[in-house]
Amino acid sequence: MLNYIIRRALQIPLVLFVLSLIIVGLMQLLSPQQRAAAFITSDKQIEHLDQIIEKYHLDEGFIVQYKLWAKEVLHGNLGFSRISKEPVTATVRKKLPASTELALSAFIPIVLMGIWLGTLAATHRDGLLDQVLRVVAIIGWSLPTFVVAIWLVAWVYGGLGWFGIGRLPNSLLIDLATGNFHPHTGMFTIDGILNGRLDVTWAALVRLVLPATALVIVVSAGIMRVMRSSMLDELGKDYVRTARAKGLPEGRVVYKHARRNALIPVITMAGPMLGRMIGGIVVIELIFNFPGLGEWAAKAALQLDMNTLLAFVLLIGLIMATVNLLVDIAYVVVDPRIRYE
Amino acid sequence: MKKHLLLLAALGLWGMAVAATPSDTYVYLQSAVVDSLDPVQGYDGASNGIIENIYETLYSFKKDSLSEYEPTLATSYEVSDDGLTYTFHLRKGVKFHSGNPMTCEDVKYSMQRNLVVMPGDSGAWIFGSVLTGYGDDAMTEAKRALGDNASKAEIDQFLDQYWKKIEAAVTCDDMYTVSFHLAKPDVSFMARLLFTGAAVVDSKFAVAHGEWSGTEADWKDWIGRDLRTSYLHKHDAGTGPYKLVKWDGNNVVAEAFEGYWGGAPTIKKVLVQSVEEEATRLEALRRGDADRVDVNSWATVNAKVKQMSGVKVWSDPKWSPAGAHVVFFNFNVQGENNPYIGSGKLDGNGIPRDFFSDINLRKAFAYCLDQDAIYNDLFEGHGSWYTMALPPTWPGYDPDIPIRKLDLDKAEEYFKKAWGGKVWEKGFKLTITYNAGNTERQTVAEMIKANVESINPKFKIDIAPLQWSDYLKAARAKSLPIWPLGWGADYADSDNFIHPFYHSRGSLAKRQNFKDPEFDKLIDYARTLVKPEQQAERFEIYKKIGRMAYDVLPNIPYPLQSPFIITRDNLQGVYYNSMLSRDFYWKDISKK
Amino acid sequence: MSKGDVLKPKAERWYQSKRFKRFRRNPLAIAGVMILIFFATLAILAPALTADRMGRACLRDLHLGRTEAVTVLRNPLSGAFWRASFAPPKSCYHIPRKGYSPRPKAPSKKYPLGLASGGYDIYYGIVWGARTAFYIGILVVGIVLIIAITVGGLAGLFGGWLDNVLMRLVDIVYSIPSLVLAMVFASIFGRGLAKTMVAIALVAWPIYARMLRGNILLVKSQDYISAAHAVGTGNARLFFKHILPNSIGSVIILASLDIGAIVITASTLAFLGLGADVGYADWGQMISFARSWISNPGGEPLKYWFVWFWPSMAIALFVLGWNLLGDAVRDALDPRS
Repeated sequence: MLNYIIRRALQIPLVLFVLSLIIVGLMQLLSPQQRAAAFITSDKQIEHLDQIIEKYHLDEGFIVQYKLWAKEVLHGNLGFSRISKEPVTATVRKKLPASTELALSAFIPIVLMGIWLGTLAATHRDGLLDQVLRVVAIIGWSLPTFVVAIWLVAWVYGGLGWFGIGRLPNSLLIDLATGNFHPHTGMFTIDGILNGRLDVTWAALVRLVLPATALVIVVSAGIMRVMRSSMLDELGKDYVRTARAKGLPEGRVVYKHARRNALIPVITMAGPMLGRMIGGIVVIELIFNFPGLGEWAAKAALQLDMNTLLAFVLLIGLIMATVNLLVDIAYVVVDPRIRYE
Repeated sequence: MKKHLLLLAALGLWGMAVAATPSDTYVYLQSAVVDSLDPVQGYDGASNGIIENIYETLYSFKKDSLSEYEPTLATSYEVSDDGLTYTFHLRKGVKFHSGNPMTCEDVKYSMQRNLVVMPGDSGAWIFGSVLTGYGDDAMTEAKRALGDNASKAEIDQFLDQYWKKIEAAVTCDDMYTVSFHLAKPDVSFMARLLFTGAAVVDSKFAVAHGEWSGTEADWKDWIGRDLRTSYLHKHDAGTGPYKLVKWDGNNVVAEAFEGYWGGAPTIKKVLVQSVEEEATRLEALRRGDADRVDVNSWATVNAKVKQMSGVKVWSDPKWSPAGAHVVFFNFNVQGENNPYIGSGKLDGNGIPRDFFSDINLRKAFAYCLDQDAIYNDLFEGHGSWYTMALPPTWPGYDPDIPIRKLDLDKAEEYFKKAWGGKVWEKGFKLTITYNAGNTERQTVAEMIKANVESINPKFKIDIAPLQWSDYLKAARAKSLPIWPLGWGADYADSDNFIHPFYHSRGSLAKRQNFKDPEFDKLIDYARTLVKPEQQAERFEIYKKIGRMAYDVLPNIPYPLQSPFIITRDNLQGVYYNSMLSRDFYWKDISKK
Repeated sequence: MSKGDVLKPKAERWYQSKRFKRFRRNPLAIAGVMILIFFATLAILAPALTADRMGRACLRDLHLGRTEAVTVLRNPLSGAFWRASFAPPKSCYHIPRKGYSPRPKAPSKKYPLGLASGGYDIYYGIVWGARTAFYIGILVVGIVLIIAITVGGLAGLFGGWLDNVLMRLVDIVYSIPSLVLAMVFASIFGRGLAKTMVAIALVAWPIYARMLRGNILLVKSQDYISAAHAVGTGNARLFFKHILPNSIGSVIILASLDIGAIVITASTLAFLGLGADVGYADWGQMISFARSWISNPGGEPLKYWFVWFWPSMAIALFVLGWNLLGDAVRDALDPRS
């Protein structure tokens, strides 16, 4: 088991290496001029294209470019982000807490909703509730994240005037920018408490409602579907029948026994769900003007800011690989029948 | 359920009340992100909009006037008779934010730093091209002059003479007198010195923090360097009325500099925030969380901003932006297998390379550009008309030149005359390009296409949006037959428009292979008119060029959106200077 | 997952099968099919439905005059009707503009769904956008299958280290959220419909490659293959004649049902500004036109509802149609039920 974990953990750098190879490799499809143009912001700099190519070694071959990049990375320097005008690591440090705050605030509702609704659907199998939930799940699954986000912005924020967009109202951002507020964690809800500024915590919570709702809508449907089918599997098993035959109350059978076992397959969904959540965060942050990693990456993609994109993909790769590893471990822990060699 | 609704309502109502920023604080939300606060590196509006308030140049603009300069770090200056030496007498008792006194050494260091580093993506060429005669950094120039295979010795020799020119370009006559020595007389030198790149930097402070030492010893290390990685990128070493408190990504915080030589300004605290989403900026404006916000278009101003209370829209039909947008014709299209000119022959499936050398065609196309629609649809009636490629408020502009507006009958008449009637008979096919994502240029291209095609079914125009890089590359390779492009002023001298647009060696005209000896002669002559008393003559020449351009039509100037400034209505002292990156100096505003 | 058994020869016709009956009785499946038929109709009849509002370039390339277009394109007996319906010129995919104003215009008689920012006719964009959606879906599935067959086929056929390397590659690409990777690829390739499609295909293939490899291994282990091998049938022949046909069926079906997901990714990229050229009839892009008119702080709320409502409904319904269908098909194929 320990061996397995170590072996898997050692694969993570390999995954990141291959990912960076793929992306730097694809960059070679562009001509040096095209890559240089990404550095240009005004019509006039066209005259200086050659100088830019020279400066950033854009006319070098793949291997040279990759080496240049990798050398920096091994020194802990992920390069300079053109769109945030500072080293990539500095931006990540600032934006990662924002995205984490959003993800965490959506995580619990997603899991609870998914499990609860999935169980509900399974226990009412083929009944009206099951049918309704099934349709709801398919609809939730079908809605593109940006459509959900735009509907929420248009109807709830625009139409009803509720909540707000952005991470904090500008009046509070001024406090932050002028240094009257110390960002310990970078998550405003927590920092508000640490600074004794409950108004900041409250305001941050208010503005998390809409983006988190959007995430819940697009992600929980998947969990619900898995939960439903795994619950059905469990309910059809012998031990459930035995338990029922023994006269155990139905609630106890379902919630104490069947559901606990049905949760195991749901754990395997953690990886894909997190993936869907990360994809969702990119779009949601952009629409709710929530300055996190996703918004940053989306803007970098529009301007072909390679350092930023590479760092983003590698970070996501790292997170996904770690989560997948943890899922595997958790799987063994909850289900001792599984053994990894 | 009811409880939930109440809770939601409470959440919603929270923060609905209109707040207001403190009366000594100015909060500005802009759409762009600051690139660099190093005066040598900063070359975009967002950066220079900060730099122009924390740094100062020798002279600066007198509020909204483009032609009157106010002595700032200098008190007076004189020009030698040959126009090659500009000598400035510096203001005494000026202190940097660090407390160091400002002397000639700082002025010299600041300018030479431009000439040494010359980052390709900066405005340093503005000084290089007049002081050393080089528009690029030393290594690039060396490669250009010597070729790729030059030996190290040859390059060193080239660098040595480059350095000698840098050394000779600025000299200190005494502690408070500085002289600039030009490579050749240049009428726009004073105007160039107002560009933020010429801001005076605290040399002692900069050197102490690891910037270029100011000597020959390490100058080679700094050639072409990206200044975004060095100290002044994020730190301030200026004399300006404001000093930088901090800049982290999206927020720039500045506060009034109490030791400012001109007296401390009214507004004590400034927050400039980059908020890319327009809706968020508008929301902050409406709630009073911002004193000024960027708004993209007049359509938004009319549809949204004007509905808000407590908001002021500053605009004036007399304001015009410091730029010109035109449609270029290529007089001799270059490039093998050029995809933009079809068959390359006048056979109905393409155009010959010198298609647009026929004046009738240029006129016909000009009559197909619906300038009224640009003005009315795109700008909702708030635009500046351009009779020539020079901003209407600039000296040398002639407002009496007519503008060709949409007239399909006239267009047809000229199409029939073009190429001895062959164009009309055979038809043609060509491609108009624009850089993808630029709606204005897309609109211009689509308008021309729609109108030209409506005249004769044999006329075919395709529209190709190009990636920014491909667009620039193709324009540089002179392979585009007809394309819209804009130009923004770097410094406030009309030569900054007339030369690039109308001189055969101008950076724009050369891409369209436009060459007219008459134009060249006049523009070259105008450049020799350096003396103040000759300026009237110079501007008459520019008007004449405008009139000639109406007949020769090397390009079609079209209207620009007229400028506006959106603020809360308690902000006072706002004015519009098109050469300032953010329209006014912070020191001039106050709040009711 | 199904095990390639759909394609086994059957005595009964497919429409007589139990599976099809179960599918037919599923109301959700019927709803999905109806939605898709609706969009398919929009897509095929796009020229007829928009004959009165076509752009100049489109008419030019169809060799039709404006008044003539309305009568000809709406007459199924004319050749032009069929030409336009099945092979319309590229220029017809560009949404014609009425004026150039950045301010959206409310629905009117001539423009029943209104004009988006920039004077783009929303009705035209919705109708032709249906074509684009099908086009993207079908082409991307095609590219995905080509990649999946190549990679999965090589891995399954040769096994060994090649299998190992390819499957690790599959794992890596699969582990990154598809939108993130597609966004990076689209950024590198640049704007343009074809480039976006390649970018999406490059991230969508791994799951099918893995599925195909699994199926191939299964088929390979079956007796008749070993028998054929023993008789001396060549590797390539065996692969193309027996192994591939018997492993690929379910992969094709499942990949096709993924059109909904593909259209989501494509429209998201278009919304971000990484899709087709500006003005191309594409629902995602139409929503990005609406970006600055979604909320109207301080003014009349929902005043410009039409700019985002129609395209977002179109995407949501289209994807819903595919997912309803997909769900029902998977159900019908599921051996457990």
